[in-house]
Amino acid sequence: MERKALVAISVVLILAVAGIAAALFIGGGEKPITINQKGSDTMLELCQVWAEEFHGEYESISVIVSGGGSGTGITALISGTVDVAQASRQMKQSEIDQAIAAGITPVEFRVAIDGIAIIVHTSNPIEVLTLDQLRGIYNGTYVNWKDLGGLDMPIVAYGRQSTSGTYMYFQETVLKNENYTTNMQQMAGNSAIVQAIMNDEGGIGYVGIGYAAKASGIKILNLSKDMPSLSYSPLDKDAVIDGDYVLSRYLYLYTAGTPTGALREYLLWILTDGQPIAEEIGFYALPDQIIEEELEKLE
Amino acid sequence: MKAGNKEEILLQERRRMSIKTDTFIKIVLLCVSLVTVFALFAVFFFIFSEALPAFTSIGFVEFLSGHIWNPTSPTNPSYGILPLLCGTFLVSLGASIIAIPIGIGCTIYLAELAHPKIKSILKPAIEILAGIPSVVYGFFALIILSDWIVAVFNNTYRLNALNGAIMLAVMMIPIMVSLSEEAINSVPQDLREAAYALGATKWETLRGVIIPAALSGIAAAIMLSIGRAVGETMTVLMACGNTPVITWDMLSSVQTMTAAIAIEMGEVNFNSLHYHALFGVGAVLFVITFAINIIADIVLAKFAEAYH
Repeated sequence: MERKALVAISVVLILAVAGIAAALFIGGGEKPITINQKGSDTMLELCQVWAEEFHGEYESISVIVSGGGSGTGITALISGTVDVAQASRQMKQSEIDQAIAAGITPVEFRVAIDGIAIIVHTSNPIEVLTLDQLRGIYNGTYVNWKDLGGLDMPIVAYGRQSTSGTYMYFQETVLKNENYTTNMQQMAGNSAIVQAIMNDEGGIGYVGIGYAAKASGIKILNLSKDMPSLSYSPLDKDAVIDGDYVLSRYLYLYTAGTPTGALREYLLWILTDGQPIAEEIGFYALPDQIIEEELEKLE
Repeated sequence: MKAGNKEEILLQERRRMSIKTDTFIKIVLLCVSLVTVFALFAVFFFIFSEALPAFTSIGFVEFLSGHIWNPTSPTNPSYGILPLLCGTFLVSLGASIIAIPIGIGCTIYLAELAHPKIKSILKPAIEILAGIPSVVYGFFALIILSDWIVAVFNNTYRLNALNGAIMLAVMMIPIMVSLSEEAINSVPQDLREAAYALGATKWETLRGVIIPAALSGIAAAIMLSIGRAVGETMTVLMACGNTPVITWDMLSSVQTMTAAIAIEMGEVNFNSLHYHALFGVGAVLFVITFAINIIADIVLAKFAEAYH
């Protein structure tokens, strides 16, 4: 009795395994292609919308996007666990060396433009800051708004957490690699900063343009390189794209080697049909000349 | 005679079977409990093995006593967790100062004094406090409580240690109340009756008999709720402003160890020194909460002995 049952079970199991193998073998040709992508949280929403729209047009290719930060995405690309990394900063030389040591040549694509907005409370009379003044605020030189011609009120600086790509970009560009003041409040995300500034009359913070433009109850400051007379707003598209606005930056996608096949289709689509979507999300589209430069990398 | 024999054999058989099932159940339960112990050791081993590179390359003493936590500085990365220890201590201390008197008062009232009708409303209300997710408390602190604190103290930093401490106190109270109420309820009725028989008033009975008898449980409840405060993450992350500075000022922004791990682990480069240093912070936190739990156990045992 028992032996019969055993034989029956074994037969069923063998048949099942054979069936699955056959199904895989036959269906192999039509298997959908999946692109794995990971990285910057600033770009997460943008990339998810891109992935969805792209899948709508190319049904056999799906793109799975996750966040975790620029550094995490780049590390995943180097270790070969993802096909694409999204990053709000360029790869560091140490990361490129690491990739080459692992046998991977990272290829960089600029995919959109972001302007980092400096925001304050609506009651703050300051309208313009120079880059030096901004550096002074974040390295702790200025502690009261009256030092900058504002009200007599302590400055409360808000920033991102130390592992964010935006934190690093700001530290490089504004602070020239000096340390942030230890009094800076580290917030876990762009919207947390907006939320804090809304309620803090002495507050100042930096966020991606998409977050500042959509928010109400905050004031976006103009920035100038040195003289207050030549200041630009991050809402001024041309100033951000031309780099007249000092805190404009590219957003990047990185692939391991020159992309081919489905991955090539995907990047091609982002650089063409994907550009208006970037504007809808709150970033800026690349100028035509940059698009052509990037498309050449796909040849 | 024959029938009796048969019955005896059957009985023996049944006994043998029940011994068999007993051992079987014992083994299953042993395995289940071993899983817990194994999980604890696995966590312990994982955290400490990941933290080890940080301890060796930073230096354990330097790691514990360094005054600056700035792991991503481009010029001079520093991995001193003293500001984080200080932040955790300040917030937990503030929370304990607020929560312990309220918690104990609440427990005594609920367990001994409250009218059953009031109790039937109050107790579930306190228990609901325990069920609210910590992120909701954090959001409340971030948006509303911080404004109140600014209105009262007219301070510079909206997000500060006091903000977190008040929120943590609210989260500690339900744990403390439900654990210490249990301790008070388990004081034998005989003791109360004996006190009343000696002519003690309700207050004298409470102060002289019931509370001393339940003290071990109450003390353990306090320790465990402090453990909860030390380990709480989301609320302090949102409420305290995250500035790793060493300060005694409750109105200053601080960063706790848990908040540093939560806020930085998401984007840290895998296997970098910073990554291992965060595990180092986790290891220190592990030791602290472990110590608090052991102290709670010792207190429980000691008071229990004194009482018997």
